[in-house]
This record gives sequence, C-alpha cells and structure tokens, in this order.
Amino acid sequence: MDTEAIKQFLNDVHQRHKDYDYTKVKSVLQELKRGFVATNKQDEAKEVWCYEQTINAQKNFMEAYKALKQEKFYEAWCILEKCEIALLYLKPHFYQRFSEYSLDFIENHARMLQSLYPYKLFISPEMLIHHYKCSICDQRVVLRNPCRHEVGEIYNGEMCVRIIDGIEFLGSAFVTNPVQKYSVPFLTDQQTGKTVDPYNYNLVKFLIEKLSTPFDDWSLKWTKKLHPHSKFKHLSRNDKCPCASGKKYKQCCLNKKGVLMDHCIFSIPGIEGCEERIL
Amino acid sequence: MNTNFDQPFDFKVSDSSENFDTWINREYIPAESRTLLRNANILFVPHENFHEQKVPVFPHKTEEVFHFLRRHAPKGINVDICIADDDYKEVVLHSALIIFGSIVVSAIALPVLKDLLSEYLKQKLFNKSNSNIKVSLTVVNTSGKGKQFDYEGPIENFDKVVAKIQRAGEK
Repeated sequence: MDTEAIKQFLNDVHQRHKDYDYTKVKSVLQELKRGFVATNKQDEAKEVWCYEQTINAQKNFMEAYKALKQEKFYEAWCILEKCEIALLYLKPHFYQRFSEYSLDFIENHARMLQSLYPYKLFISPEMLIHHYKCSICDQRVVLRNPCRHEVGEIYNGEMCVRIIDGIEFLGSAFVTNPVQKYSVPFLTDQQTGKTVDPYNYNLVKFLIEKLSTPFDDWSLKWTKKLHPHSKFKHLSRNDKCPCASGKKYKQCCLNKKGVLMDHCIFSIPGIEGCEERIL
Repeated sequence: MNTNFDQPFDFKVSDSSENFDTWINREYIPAESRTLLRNANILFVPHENFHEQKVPVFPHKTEEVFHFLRRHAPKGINVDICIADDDYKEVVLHSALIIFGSIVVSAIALPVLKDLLSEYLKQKLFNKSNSNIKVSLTVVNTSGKGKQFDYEGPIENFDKVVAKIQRAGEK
C-alpha cells in the first residue's frame, strides 16, 4: 500500500462505513513515518501525521454513529468529543483538503449531533500549573529562553503540545461551556450505588432511527416556535417556565401570548416534513 | 452599545491608574529584570490575588501567546511579560473561553498588537468561529496615562472592538 492507495482509502470513507478497520493503513503509515523521520523528510512526515489524524476523525465519527444506533448515548458523546479534538488539531494543517476526505462533512455533522444532546451543564476543574515541558524535546519551558518548538506545529511527524509538569488542583465548578465536554454530571442511585442517566435523548433518537449510514446527508435548523398555554395546563404558576429560562412560569411566559420554545427542523433524505421540537 | 455587532458582548472602558512603570515596579519583579522590561511596548501582566492565590498568575496559554507574539513581532516592537521566568504560573479555568489575559500596550503599538493577536487566532485556532475571547488591554499614551478596555465576546467582533479602542485611544 503506497501513499496514493492510502489517500484513495481515506477518500472512500463513505463507501466502507460498515468496515472501518484501519489497522493495516495505520501500520503502513507508521512505517512510512519512521522512514521519513530517519531521513529528516519533515514535510512528508507531517503529511503522514495529517493522514493519521484524518483516520482518528473518520473512525471516531463512525464509532459514534454505531454507539448511537445502540443507544449508548454518553459513550457516543465522548467519541464525538474525540472526533472534534482530532479535527481541531488537524484543521490548521490540512484545511485545503478537508472536503477530500469527508472531513468537512464530519465536522458539521458531529457538531449538529452534539447540538441535539440534552447535556447543558458540565463539571470543570480549576488548576494551577507550575511548570510545562515540551512534548518534542522534553525540555522544561522557560519564558525567555524557550526551545525552538512551537505548540501545534508538527515535528518528526508528531504535534508539539505542552506536558504539565507540576499541577495543583484548586476546585471545580458547573459550567455551560467547558474546555472539554466529557464531564457530564449523572445521578447515583442511593440504594444500589449505580449511575443513573436522567437525560432525555428523544431528539438524538428521533434522528438516528431515520439514518441508514453515518454519511446520510441530513441537516437541521434551530428556530423558535410559539406554543399555546393550553399545552402546559399540567404546570402551576410557580413551576419553572417551559421555555427553559429558569424563571417561574408566572414571571416569564405566562403573561405572554404563548411559550416560545427552541424548535428543531430536520431535513433527512427521503423523509418529508420531518420536524420535532425539544421535549 | 451593541448595535454595530452581530453578537452580544461585553465591552467596558475605564480610566486606569496602571501603566508600564506601575507594573514594572511591582515587588515581585527582580531589580535586575526591570531595565529589560522598560523596553517593552507590549507587556503581559498577571492577575494578582486571583482566588486567594498568594502569587501572581497568568491565564492558561499566556506562555503560548507570548511566544507567538515574540516570534512574529516586527522590529521596534518589544513584547515582554511582567514576571521572572521562575515565578511564572498559569491558572486553568473552567470554560472554553480563549483568554488573552491582561496586556499593557503603548498607543503606538496597539495596531501591531491587534494584527498579532488576529494572526494568532487565525493560525492557531483557525478562527474557531463559535468561540468567545476575553482580553483586557490597558492602552498607555505618550504622557504615561492609561485607559483600560475590557472585552469579552465572539472572536468575529475582535477586529471591530480593537478599531473602537484605537478610536477611543486617539481622543
């Protein structure tokens, strides 16, 4: 398998969504990279890194789809986060070729899938970092006398990152826009000690049931829709407003024409008039 | 205030008693570093007394932004940071906000700072269009008076906000 065959393999991702075994391609890429690094062919080694990241993004996207089909929603959420991170690292180096390997499709659809999740609050730590090391040369980072490696750049086919060398945990907080989105709070059953998932995944379920492959070209549009108060007769004046403002119903929409709620309109190939509101 | 912008944001302007001298003369700056710091026309400054921390701290990735600016600054623009190398510490906060931290900048270097920060956003973050940034700029005029501009909002407004700061700084 040469570079051209690898490119073709990555390009055909949507045609082999049921068999996404990248083991062979990965080992070929590793071998190629070893050779390029040994002969100091930095540009070629960087290109191999780009293909490795492309694999990460494609594989994670397809695995997330598989987990969603099996209704493993949190697992799929974490895989989508990995997919997003792989694309974030890759994009500055590979932007011109994003459409070639369906990466723009994956980026858009991973983001749309995430927007359908009910997770709105996350736990995030606050930390004090004492020192960093460079992942490429292992030298401690000194402000006025840094090593020559730049964070985010590719050296010897690896991306330069900072390695934390000395850290102090200060606290944690609930946030709506966390650095990483893995830390979703769940409940614990007091009697059994088991984790309880209290979330309503109806929107994700609604979509995923209608898809045949991870590369079905669906889209969605978020809008607002006014719902009559008669729909919310079961709520009292002192309950939380159904518009999710966090205010009491009587202090929010009850004095208005109706309740303005987020509304999601799906467009799925072969399915007419497909829409669903947040439940 | 927000009428010229597509997205909501926070932008505050206030008079500041801080300038390059007040920062350089902080007790945690070693005497031998002060001469060097006096050459700076873009100076990253720390948060003091942040969440009961006894030491000054910088927002996460300040070191990265600082090195980027140093590497790309044109001749005549001196970028420095108001801390001794050994005392540098970063605090990682909770949200995915891009924090440029607090920067003291001479009025003359402000357009260069804007270009450098915009380039950083473009190159390193590929203009993550859905992200917000937070920055506090103290612009010091030729007579040493400072004006502080605090911005927190979408990346896409950043250039317009700095243009606003430039206009305000000229008044």
